[in-house]
Amino acid sequence: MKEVEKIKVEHLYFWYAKSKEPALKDINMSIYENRVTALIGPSGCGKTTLLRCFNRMHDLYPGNRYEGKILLDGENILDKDYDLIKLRTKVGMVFQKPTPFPMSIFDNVAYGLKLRGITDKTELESRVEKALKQAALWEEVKDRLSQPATGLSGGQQQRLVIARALAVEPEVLLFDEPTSALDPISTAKIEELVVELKKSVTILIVTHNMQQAARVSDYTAFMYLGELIEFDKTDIIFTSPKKKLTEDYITGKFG
Amino acid sequence: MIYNPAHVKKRKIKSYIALSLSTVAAFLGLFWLGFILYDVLRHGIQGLSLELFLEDPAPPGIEGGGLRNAFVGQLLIVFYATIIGVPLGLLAGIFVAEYARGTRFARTISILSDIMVSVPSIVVGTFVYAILVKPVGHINFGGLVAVGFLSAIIAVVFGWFLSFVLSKLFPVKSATTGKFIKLLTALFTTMFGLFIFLILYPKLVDRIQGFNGWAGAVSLAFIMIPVVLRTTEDMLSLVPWTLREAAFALGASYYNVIKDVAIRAAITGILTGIILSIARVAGETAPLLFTSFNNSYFTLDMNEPMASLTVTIFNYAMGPYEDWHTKAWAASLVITVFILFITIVTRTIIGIKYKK
Repeated sequence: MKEVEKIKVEHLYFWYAKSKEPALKDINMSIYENRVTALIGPSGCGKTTLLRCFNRMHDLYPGNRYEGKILLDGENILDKDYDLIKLRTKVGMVFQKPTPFPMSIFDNVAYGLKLRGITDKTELESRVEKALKQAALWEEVKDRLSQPATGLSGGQQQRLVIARALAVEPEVLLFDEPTSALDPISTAKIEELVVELKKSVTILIVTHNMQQAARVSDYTAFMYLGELIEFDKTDIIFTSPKKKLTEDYITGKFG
Repeated sequence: MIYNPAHVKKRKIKSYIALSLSTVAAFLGLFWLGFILYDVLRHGIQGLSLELFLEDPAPPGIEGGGLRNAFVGQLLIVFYATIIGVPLGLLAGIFVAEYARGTRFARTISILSDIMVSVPSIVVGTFVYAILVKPVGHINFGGLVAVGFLSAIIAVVFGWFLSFVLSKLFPVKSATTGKFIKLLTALFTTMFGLFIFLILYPKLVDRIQGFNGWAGAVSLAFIMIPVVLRTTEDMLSLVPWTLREAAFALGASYYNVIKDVAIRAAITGILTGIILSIARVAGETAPLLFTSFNNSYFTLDMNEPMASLTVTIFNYAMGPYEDWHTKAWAASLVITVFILFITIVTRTIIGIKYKK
């Protein structure tokens, strides 16, 4: 199986505003194309912080600071001149809690397309349908596309948000604990979806749930106190980790 | 089991006393409210007639006539106050809650607005008298400010519209075209504002002598601005941040995030604030006493002194004629019902929103 490097993180440091201590220390890792990479670790270890570096979400809050490089297709996305709109078109994100916008189901999915200047109605319709099918939501909502998205259940909302992210055809999709607010059945559906989606996109997923990481991911990164402790293929991390700390966490000795 | 019947009894008695006291207090408050409404209804209904709405006042001491001038004047003043006050309050609220969020500047504006909300309305009236009534017709400084103010608002609305049209005509492809469009919009907006100013100035200011309807509208607008600003700010800050982050993550600009997500999510609350601010100023007398003053004749010209219901009620209730008193009651009834109507409509909107 040949692995293609999609993203390369080189000596990444990150500081939150007004904080002297870096929240991320010297992170080096590779994200492979069409693979699922899971970020695991105890609360406050920096996994969400790292995830939010990949679409520069931290830029919304003044004073946050990066150092090092994140190369996406060979270009450093932390470069001041890198266009954030281009970055966020390439790299989509799904949040912990479902975030449907206060508009109809259709408009939610079409929102990102409209932002990119697509106004043709037939094109919008076909793209929305495609995205909803990809997110395995089409059958459930096809008859009520004009109804408000807030009327959907939590699991449906989360799949809607995934469809919304997929509609603009991203190359990378970031998931920030996408199932922590969902029931087991919805969780299973999202997990299936993640596995299905890796055929077309590269996926990074932050999760608290180690079984989930084992189930869906190809690669796993274990983080602790802002440092990347170990990064390897998922089966290696879960069966024969090289570091004692990783093993302790995996076996539930702390966490 | 730890169960002490005597203690439980004591607790029940305490609870009973608290319940009785708060019930009595509630009914006492409601009683006076009901009393006032009943009194206004009882006296006011006698004066209600079609002529009240369709005829202008008869000369003092002569029976008959109506209050058409006051009804129309009131509507005009409140209408212009809304046009001036709501966009300013709205945009300022958006600025404080979004663009300037968390800065010291935003907090200062917030606190100042809170103070402005509780400033006695007669102070606002005096202030507007000083800038828009006393100076006009002499050195025209007040008129200059007023027309400048008005032109700026018209220009901002125009600019907003223009940028909307331009962004539809030329979808932004690069940062350079974006900057170019911004520059173009700014230039046209400024020119448009100046143009409006030059047209309006001779038409309005040279003709205003002393008390005028504009001054009344501006004082009411001054009362509306902080109310609208604070509700807009509060409602926007209730919208969860993750919602905005989700829009940013799709590549939206801050303007898009505000327009498409934040305002949409907060729209019910913002509309409620706007309607309540209209209800609030519709019942004000003090800011109109020495700005729009009063007028016994019917006029649609905002440059002239203008009658309003509240000031008319004040004058008629103090007047020596029985007929005036009846009319004052009738006017009180109409304005009370009007405000009650607005408030009930607003409550219904909120009710519908939260039932969903």
